[in-house]
Amino acid sequence: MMDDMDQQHYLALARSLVSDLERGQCDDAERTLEEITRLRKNASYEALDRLIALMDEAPSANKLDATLGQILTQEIPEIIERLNYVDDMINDSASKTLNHVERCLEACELVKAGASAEVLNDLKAQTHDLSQGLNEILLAQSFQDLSGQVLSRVIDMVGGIERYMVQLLNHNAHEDRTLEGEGSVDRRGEAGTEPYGPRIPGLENPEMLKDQGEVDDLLSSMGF
Amino acid sequence: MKILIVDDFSTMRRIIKNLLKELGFSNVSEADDGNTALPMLKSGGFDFLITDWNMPGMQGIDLLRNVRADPGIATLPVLLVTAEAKKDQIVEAAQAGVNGYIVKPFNAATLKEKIDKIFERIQAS
Repeated sequence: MMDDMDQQHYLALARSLVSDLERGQCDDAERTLEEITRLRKNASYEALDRLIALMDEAPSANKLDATLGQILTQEIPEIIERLNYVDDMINDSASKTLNHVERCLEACELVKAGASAEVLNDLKAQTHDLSQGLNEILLAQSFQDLSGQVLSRVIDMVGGIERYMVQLLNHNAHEDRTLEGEGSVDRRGEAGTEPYGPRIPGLENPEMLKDQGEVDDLLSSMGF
Repeated sequence: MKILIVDDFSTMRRIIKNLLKELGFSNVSEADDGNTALPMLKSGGFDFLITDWNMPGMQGIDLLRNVRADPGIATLPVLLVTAEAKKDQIVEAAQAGVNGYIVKPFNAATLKEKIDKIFERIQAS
């Protein structure tokens, strides 16, 4: 790590050290040696400082930008795509089940109507059980509505984060830091008619009622 | 009796439609939000409205307010079937003139109970 100026300086000091010693000037030789030692110390500290500066600054800023860029261009779009896929899959699956249930229920109605003329009581009883079961399956598909609402909320939230980060990146580039509008990521819990969405275990809100019983109690307390 | 079901999820519309069929109501139409539902209601013939709250476009609470504000359909019975369960929202719906409030997930018995109750009251008054 020695540049040209350092080299010239060292050479001059070395020459004067040799001439001091040849002339028997021990005190001068001592001073020259001290000067050389001081120079060497400075040189190593400077090198160390440069190394620390390199580790601290230059790579981190670049790396941060690269990471943020990757989050924005790859990871968040991928999360949204995956969530949309799950949402579509749930929707398709619920639709298929409903199609089958509706066809089976129609068949049940036909059997019920036809069997009533005959003495086919066993068949009627079984058909009744079957249609009850099918109605249970039917109602169970409501998971698609509730999970779909939760998924679209998550998709909205991730989209909001994405827009916020893009804004942040753009504003950082111009030092104008007035972030507004789309930065608000989570709409939940606002007053008025803003929908809140389904109750989610682990994210309970004290303002939310737990079940139909509590809703009925509140309404009857209001004179309903 | 002609019933309109309003929900942005077709799955939920189909579920309610099938449950209503079991209860003996087969004249059922569907809409996917308040903006689609309101002109259908205004064009007449509906006896009962079952609506979700949280929908893109016009929400259920605003559909309810629009119904109550229109002299032609102001007395239409309205049942909210929604995942929204905040106290403020239920109070808000009651003040806007809702006839019944079912919170999702619900079962067939609850739907029957609330519909029966609404028509009992209407007949009594």
